[in-house]
Amino acid sequence: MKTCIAMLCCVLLSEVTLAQTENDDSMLHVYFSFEQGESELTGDAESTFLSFAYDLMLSRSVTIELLSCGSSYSAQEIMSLRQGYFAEACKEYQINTESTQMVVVNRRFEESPASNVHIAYYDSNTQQKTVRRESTFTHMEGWRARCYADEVAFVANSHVKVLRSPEELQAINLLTEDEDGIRLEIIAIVSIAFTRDTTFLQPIAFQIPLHGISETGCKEYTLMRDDQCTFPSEPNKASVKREDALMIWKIDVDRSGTYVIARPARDVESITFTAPNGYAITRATATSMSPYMHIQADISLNQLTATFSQVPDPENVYCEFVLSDMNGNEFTTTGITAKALMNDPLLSFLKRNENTLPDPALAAGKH
Amino acid sequence: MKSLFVLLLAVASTAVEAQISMPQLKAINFEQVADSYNTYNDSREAMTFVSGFSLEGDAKLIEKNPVEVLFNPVSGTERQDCKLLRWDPVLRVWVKFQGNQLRTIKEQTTPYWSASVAAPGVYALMKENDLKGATRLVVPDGYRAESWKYVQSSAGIVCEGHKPGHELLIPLPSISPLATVSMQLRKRGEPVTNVAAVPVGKLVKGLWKDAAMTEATFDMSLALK
Repeated sequence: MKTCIAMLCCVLLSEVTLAQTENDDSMLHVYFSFEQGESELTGDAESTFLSFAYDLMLSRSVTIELLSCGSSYSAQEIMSLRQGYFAEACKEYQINTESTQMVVVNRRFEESPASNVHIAYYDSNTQQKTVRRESTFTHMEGWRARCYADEVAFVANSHVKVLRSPEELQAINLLTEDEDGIRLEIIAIVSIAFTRDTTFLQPIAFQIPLHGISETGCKEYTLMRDDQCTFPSEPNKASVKREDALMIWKIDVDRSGTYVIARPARDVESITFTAPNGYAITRATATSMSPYMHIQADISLNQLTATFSQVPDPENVYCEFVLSDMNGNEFTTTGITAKALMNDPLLSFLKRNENTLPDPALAAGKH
Repeated sequence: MKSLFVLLLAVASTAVEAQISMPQLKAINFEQVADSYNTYNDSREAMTFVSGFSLEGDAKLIEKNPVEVLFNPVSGTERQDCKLLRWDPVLRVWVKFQGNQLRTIKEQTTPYWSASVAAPGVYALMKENDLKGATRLVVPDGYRAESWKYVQSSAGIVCEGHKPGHELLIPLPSISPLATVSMQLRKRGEPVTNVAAVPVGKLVKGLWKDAAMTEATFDMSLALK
């Protein structure tokens, strides 16, 4: 990517003063110029610009003014260059262009020779933005967050929910294995939703209490969502601290999402079923409620093996699978328990419910 | 319920600020504590709830202008035995805070217990108990209590637990048959059953039936000490 060089031409305080003299005390004005080559920004200027870029994403009303020098061909060319610079700055500093209004204005005689892009953003707290202090606040619903003080009002409106019951896990269709098929024991899941779709440059450090949970040494996953919630295969080590005999989960969150503490299963338990002669199992899932375990069953030849992270109760394991016959016809079962499969061959179940299959016996056994 | 007179004495530093965000003080009664809180101190020992209030408003303003709260003295109780504590919603216990010491002041000739509060939050006047020991209530075989709450309104005590298990470990040496227990019970493989405010007397003596699901009786028992 082409290096985008930004240079702050106006100091924050002087611009606040300028804004106030223009009877526009809610606007901050910042001028940037972009040139090809190495960045000439000092560390302070860079961090100040990052702070501005960050505020651009969070401010309620943002106007970017690109200064136009006139209508000549060369002016249009300069304008085009400036738009390009701004687009690069947006990309580099992750400014949300969808919520940022860009206006081309003609202020030829006011323009600083060094300024290519003039950014003005609305914020009633502009005079306090010279220093961004961090703050830890406690929400009355029982969680803490550490963030910049000016973000507290936004973060405080976040919805934080700890999901623990099998019903809640089933409701989000959670697969209890990672992308590599490793069975996981789920310790806790927390869903964090900001009131607006945004990404923080510096993550918010949430602290979520896990009442009644004492396990540690777990991994932390960011849950991926499609039709099923799945785990990536590369988790982070979960950051957990004990406070007053309570387990507090510390999560750095830069966007809304569902986060999970889990660990690879220490023991596994399998139940295996064999398809009837003439049929092959093509797809299968198995769900155990209490404890909640939802897995993709392994299929080898005409055998289906459901391997769980804990010993399941066959009476509470529900299987769904698809059988195919020699002609490619597919037959689907839903809601049949593993125990029923052991006592009542699959074929007779299918015959009762679908009345479609012939009658070779299905052997079922527990390993 | 013991009467509570709360006077808001702090004044905002400027009239404009005061108009914008005057601190709001609301009384909290035992039913609200039983519903949303507990009466644990930071050692998770049960205390007795005396009275409580919530303070809302601009945090900076309240910090600059602490609110002085006056309580009617509790008859038969020494002031030194009571503490004003703040609710920690993360730890779910009542914690000490700077300036929570009660002192006695007089408004004209009427004595009050006074304390100063410099941050928004939920506060309660609690009396420490010297009740050492624990009582274990055992749920029926095949069941697990996922969370529970024990409410003894006659003593102003609310205990709770969130660790799933076969026992309810109540941090009191004895429990009252008139106290109530609420819990989330799960029979293996079945949906959770909410048991709401059943008197201990019925629960332990086997008079309570699980009407929501089956005709089975979930007799609870006291564990042997």
